[in-house]
Amino acid sequence: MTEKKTPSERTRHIHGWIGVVCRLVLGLVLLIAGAIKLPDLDASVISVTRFQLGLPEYWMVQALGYGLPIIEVALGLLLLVGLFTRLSALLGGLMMLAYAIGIASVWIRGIALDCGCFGSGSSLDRINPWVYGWDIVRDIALFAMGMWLFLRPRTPFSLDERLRGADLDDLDTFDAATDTENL
Amino acid sequence: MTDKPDTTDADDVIDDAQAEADAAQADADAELAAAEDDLADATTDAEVASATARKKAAVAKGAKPASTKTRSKQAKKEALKSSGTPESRRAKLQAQREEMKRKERQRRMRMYVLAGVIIALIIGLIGFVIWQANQPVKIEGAPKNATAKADGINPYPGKAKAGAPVVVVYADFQCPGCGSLENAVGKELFALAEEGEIQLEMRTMIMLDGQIPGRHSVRAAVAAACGDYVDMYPDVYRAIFSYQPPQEGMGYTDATLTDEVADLTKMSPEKKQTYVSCYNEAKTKSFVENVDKMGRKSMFDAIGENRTPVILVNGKNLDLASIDLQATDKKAMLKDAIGKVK
Repeated sequence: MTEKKTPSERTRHIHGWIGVVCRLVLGLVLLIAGAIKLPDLDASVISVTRFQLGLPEYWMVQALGYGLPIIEVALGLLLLVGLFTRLSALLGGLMMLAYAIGIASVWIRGIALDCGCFGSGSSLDRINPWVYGWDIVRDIALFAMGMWLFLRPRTPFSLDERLRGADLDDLDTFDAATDTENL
Repeated sequence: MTDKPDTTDADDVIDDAQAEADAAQADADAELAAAEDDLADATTDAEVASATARKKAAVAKGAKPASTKTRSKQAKKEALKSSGTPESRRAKLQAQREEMKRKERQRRMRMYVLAGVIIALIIGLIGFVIWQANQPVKIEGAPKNATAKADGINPYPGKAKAGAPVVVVYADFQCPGCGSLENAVGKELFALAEEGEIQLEMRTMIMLDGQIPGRHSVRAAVAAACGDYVDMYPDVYRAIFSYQPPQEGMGYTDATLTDEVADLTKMSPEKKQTYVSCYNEAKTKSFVENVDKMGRKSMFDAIGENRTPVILVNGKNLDLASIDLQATDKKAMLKDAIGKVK
């Protein structure tokens, strides 16, 4: 049966497709960012120390350095297949926000993150504001995608949709409505 | 999915249906046909009732919006009203809904379990990686002047005067800054240690191997530690740095680390043989890996960061900018700079 789409259906349709794009972009970025760090997790721990987060214990740095790439890959895969989209997008988006804050903090404190040499001396002259600025803009945009998916987690081509069942709350209201009307 | 109830978006759809009412009026004939189709396909009582109701409604009123999704609230109401025994009909529907809810609860429970398994896997994997990273390295072939914890080399053991500051140097043979530092004050640093003015400990880091292919840092560090096998650690250490390529990343060839270093340091043939075989068999590799691993932690504990070069004086960071490269008496200047670290 051919159906005409009502305005709200059309909006939902468009929102779904925006959601798919967000899922793919955020998911791919997380997956790639994590995957390129996996072969050398020790370097990832060193990178974490470069942010000079003021963590009191070395194991905390290790937890971040070893943990973040693994979590990035996991969240990236979950977003790509669209499983637990809402939670994955929330966590992935918050990670991006944390990175943006981290880079901004490093920028303000005048720390060179990636001079490629761990060299000493004044690191200030190696800091390129365009690089840091771009990183922050990019991470904020990815954070926004995560928030979009958090608010509108239903997207086509997702495992969430395939595994979707009835909505218990709707079912209860429906029951209540029919019962009162028929009794 | 296929046995999914049509109640999920009931309220929304009813609103939509309301808006479509006018259009649907015109489609009444088509709707009747559709309802008949659905009736033919119907498998459950609810679907039969619904389709029947729609059919009746379409005939009677000539207008009843009913896409496949709208067989919900109104349709079921029609079904109940038109049914001969409303109580039994309703009881049946109720039972169906209860069954649906039970299945839905089961489905949700399975989803929670799946989420729990995924989270547990991730946490377990991270825990395992951290645990493995903190396993002690099995050290074989540590050079004789290795520190007690095998986390560095003390090139002049027993020479330090009482109360001499402990100076720890973290350096990577591939790092240009480390090369500059070595050029500037390497000779003086070793001299102060030899004279007993400082208690020197060298910790060779291999962090840059993670970024630059070729494992040059670890090979150079292995060579330096092999220098201690023939009691020539300072000479070998300085010789390796003298061959540091002008451009970071070019690294060291095996020939440089063996023959060229041996020749530059004027090793006797016997020493050269010991040194070269030590390097070729990578005898000091596990020691070097342990120095790097423990160095990352000890450096982090001291300065909250991992970088090279770093000089610690009694555990405190020596600001490398305080080293005056123009000084005429570099040794005195260096001793002064070390003394000033508080």
